[in-house]
Amino acid sequence: MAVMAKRKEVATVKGAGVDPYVASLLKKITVGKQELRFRKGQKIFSQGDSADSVYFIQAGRVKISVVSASGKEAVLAMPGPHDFFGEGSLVNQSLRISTAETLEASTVFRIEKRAMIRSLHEQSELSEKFMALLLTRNLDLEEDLCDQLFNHSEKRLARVLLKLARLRTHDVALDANVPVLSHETLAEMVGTTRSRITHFMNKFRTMGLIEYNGELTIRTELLTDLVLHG
Amino acid sequence: MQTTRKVAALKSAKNGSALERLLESIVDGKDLLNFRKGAKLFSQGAEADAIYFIRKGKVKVAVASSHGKNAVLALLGPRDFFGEGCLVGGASARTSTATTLEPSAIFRIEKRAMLRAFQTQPPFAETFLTAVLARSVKLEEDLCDQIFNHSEKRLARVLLKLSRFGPHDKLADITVPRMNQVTLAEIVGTTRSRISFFMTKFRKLGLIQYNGNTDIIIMAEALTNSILRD
Repeated sequence: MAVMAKRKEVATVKGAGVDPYVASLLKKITVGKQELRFRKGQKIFSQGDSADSVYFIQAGRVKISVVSASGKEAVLAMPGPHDFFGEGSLVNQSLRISTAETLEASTVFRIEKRAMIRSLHEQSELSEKFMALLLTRNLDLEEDLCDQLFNHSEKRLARVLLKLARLRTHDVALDANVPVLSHETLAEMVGTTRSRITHFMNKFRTMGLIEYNGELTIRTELLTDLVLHG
Repeated sequence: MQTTRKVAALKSAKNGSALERLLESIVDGKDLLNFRKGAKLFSQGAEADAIYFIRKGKVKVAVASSHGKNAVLALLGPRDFFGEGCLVGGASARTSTATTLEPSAIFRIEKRAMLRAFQTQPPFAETFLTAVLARSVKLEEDLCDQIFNHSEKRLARVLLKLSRFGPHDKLADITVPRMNQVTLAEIVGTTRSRISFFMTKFRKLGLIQYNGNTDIIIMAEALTNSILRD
């Protein structure tokens, strides 16, 4: 899937450049900003809560998920260091439409909606960076949407694993070690059942595309081949 | 999800007209172009150097996979923008193709002119930021829709979206131009024969009605009920 590969690469290059600088711009916010520390597996906010703030990750990783009326769960994103989440609150979204939960111990800034809007207004640089982050996020979302529309679940799983790998290293030739995720969480990310995930993960292991050793080792080059040509 | 969508729609409609007023202040690097139905504004892979804003008409934004499958990412109407991916990163290529669905009048704004407007007019940047956020919310909804819902429900949702093209926020019956089933299949992410099957079913259930060869009447309230019921 050459098209998808191109989209992905573009998004990665952009994503890499913007980040660390935003943290220094946020330092200028003095009122309405709190630094919060969370253990692994803590909820930062839940679907249906009132939405009155934006979050910025200093360190750690967060899972953003949605539960449907019939109880199905889907993981929408897994933001990491220097990513924002909960920004829907800035556009008249009065209730949270998703749940944010830490995947590892995390340090997070909570910025009140009013404080964020004021800063975006006063600091044109912050506003520019924030916009660049959002545009990049939208490209990522479009890519995920294409993935759902075009690809079958095996390929989608391969792509999710590659995304996880890229959170650790931007070099496609390197193998990456990531924390082991439950097959249930992977199923929610891919949009399929847990038993399909178990089936494909076993297949990937037999093919040498992944390896378990306390952590999960992702052979990024081999998996990329599968996504592009498989 | 239902409420969120309504809020986002209301907000973006108001925001769209603010954006239209602010666009007037851009003098250099902006052209108003007229297109026939079926004209291509840009193609996947082409150089991305401008953003577009619809004054009148409708536009389809679609992606083709290397296997020749098509997916429609968005159907856009008056006061919507598209091609905004060009604003992030360096010289990048279009990740999608934009085609007019009817005769349309569209502003083409050069990337440089747009970025300059952000810097010289903070209100412009703020309004655009809101629009980008609203799009982000919408993309997340579409992604949830793909992950959670089966194709019949997705088709019902697409038809409802089509009926909300205009300034109608109420659940009134509405007549829209008939769209061919191949396009509908690309939007929903299924086959033409499934679409044909469901459209017949919807007609028997009184959720839609054909009006001659050109129009289709969407019974918005009955269709909404059918989505919410199961």
